[in-house]
Amino acid sequence: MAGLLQPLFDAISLGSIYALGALGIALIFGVMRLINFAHGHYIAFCVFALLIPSTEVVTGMLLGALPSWLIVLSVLGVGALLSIASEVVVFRRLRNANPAVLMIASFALGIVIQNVLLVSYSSRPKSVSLWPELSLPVEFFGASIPLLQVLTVLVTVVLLLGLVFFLKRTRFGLEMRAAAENFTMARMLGVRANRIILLAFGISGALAGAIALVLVSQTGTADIRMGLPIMLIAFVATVIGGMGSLQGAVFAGFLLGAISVTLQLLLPLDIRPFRDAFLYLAVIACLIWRPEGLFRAGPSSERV
Amino acid sequence: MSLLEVAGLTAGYGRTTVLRGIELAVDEGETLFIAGPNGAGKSTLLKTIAGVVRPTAGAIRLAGQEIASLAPEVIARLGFSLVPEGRDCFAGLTVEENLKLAGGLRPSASDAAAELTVVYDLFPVLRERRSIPAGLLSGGQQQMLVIGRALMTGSRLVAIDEPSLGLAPNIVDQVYESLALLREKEGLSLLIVEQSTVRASMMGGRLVLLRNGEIALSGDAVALSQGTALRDAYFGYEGAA
Repeated sequence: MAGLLQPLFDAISLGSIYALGALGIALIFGVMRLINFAHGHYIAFCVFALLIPSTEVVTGMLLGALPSWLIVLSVLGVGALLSIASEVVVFRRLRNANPAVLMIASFALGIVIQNVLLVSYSSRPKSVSLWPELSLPVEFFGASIPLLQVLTVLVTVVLLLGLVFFLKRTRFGLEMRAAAENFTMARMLGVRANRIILLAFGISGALAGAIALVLVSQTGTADIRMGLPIMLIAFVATVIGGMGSLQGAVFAGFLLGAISVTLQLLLPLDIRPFRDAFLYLAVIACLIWRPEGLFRAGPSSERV
Repeated sequence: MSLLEVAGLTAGYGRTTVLRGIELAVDEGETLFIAGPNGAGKSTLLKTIAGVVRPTAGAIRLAGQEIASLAPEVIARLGFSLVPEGRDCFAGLTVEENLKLAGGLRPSASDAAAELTVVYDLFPVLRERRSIPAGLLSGGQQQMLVIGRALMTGSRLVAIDEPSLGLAPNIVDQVYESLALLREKEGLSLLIVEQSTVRASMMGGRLVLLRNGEIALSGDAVALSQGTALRDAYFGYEGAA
C-alpha cells in the first residue's frame, strides 16, 4: 500500500501540471481557435520574473524577495499580464486571419519572449531556491511524500474548483462557455467579444504562472527552455481531450501524467530513457481510435 | 420612420458579391417575409444586418441609427436579434443558461428574470426541460428555445432564418402559431426568411422576393399569392406570363 502511494502522488502531481497547462491552452482555443504555442514561454517568463535580470550565474531575487503570498499573487499577475499583452499586441490584429496564421504568430511570439529572456538572463540555467522547506517529506499512510507534491495537488484542485465555479456560476463564465461553443452566435446575443477574449487570456496566463511556481519549487532552477516540454505534453492533452473541451483537457492532462509515471515504473531500466516515445505511441493510438478526442466539444464553428 | 431601413445594400464574401442594391424597410409591429430560391442571398442579407457579414456598400439603419459595419454585439445591444438558420442553440449549455445568456442584454437582472417567466409561460416545455443541455432537445423544442432566446434579448425586431428547416409540418405549425402570438401580444416586428412563400400567404404580412441577390418582387403576401406574378418571379420567367 505504502509502496503504491508514492507513484500515485507522482502521477497526480505530474498530471496536475499537465492539466493546468492543457486548460490554459484549451481556454484560448475555445474562444479564438488559436493554439497558443507561446504558452510554454509564458511559464519560463514567470519563473524568471522571480529573479533580477542579470547574465551572471548567480543573481538576486526580484519578485522572489517578496513575502510568500505576494510571490504567488505577483507571479500569477505577471502571467496574466503577459498573456493579455500578447492578445492586445499580437493576436487581436490577426482576429480575422486563418488559424494557421494565428498559430505561426504564436510561434513567433514565443521566440521573441525566449530571446528577451536570453538577453536579460543568458541561456545558462540559474538556481532558484524558492520555498526550500517544501521539499521536506510528510508522513502519509506510512509513505513519506514531499510536502510540495501534496501542495501541488491541493493547489490544482483549488484552481480547478475555482475555475468550475467561475464557469458555471458567474455571468462571465456563462458568456465564456457560450463563446467557446459558438463565438459568432454569442456575439449576436450581445456577448462582448473583446472582453471575453481578454478574460480568457488573463486566466490562461495566470494558470501558466501557477505552473511556473510549481516547477521552480520542484526543480530549484530557472531555465529559459523549461516551459517547452510542459507545453508540448499539455498541447497533446488538449488534442486527445478533444480540442476546446475543458473537461477533456483536464482529464487528458491527468491521464498523461498517470501513463508517464506508470511507464517510468514498469519499463525495463535500459528502455526507460525512451519513456516519452511510448507516451507518444499511446497518443497516436488514441488519435487513431478517437480522432475527435476523448471528450467531444460542441460543433467547433469558425470564428468570424 | 421605419424600425429597420436597408438602402442600396451590397455585400458578399471575398470577391463574390451576393447582394446587390437591396432596398427594404420594416415598420414597427410589421411582419416582413423574405422568400426566394437557394442561393438568392436571403441568409446573407440577415447576417449582413446582424453585423456578421460586412457590407461593401449601402446603409442599414435601425431605429434611425446607422448600424452598417458595427460589431455584432453592438447591433444586438441596439435591438436587433437574429435567430440563425439551423437553430444554433448552445448545445452544451442548459436550456435555462441559453435563455439567461440572452437575458444579459436586458437592463437589469430582475427584468431578465421576469422575461424568463414570460418565455416559460409561452413555451411550457422549456420550463420542464430547463436544466438539461439544449443539445438534447428535439428540433422543434430547439426552435422554440431560440425564439425564446430572441425574446429574452428584449429586441423589438426579431429576424428568423428558415424556422421551418428540418422540422415536421405539425411542428412548423406550432412554431408559426407562437410567432403569430408574439406578433399579436408583444407587437414584435418580425423578419422571416423562408424558401417557400406558402407560410407568408398563410400568416400575412409583406413579402419580398429575393433572386440572385436582387429584389425581384415585393408586395402584400396574400395579394401576391393570388396571381402568377409571384411564381413567375420566383422561377425567373421574365415576361413569359
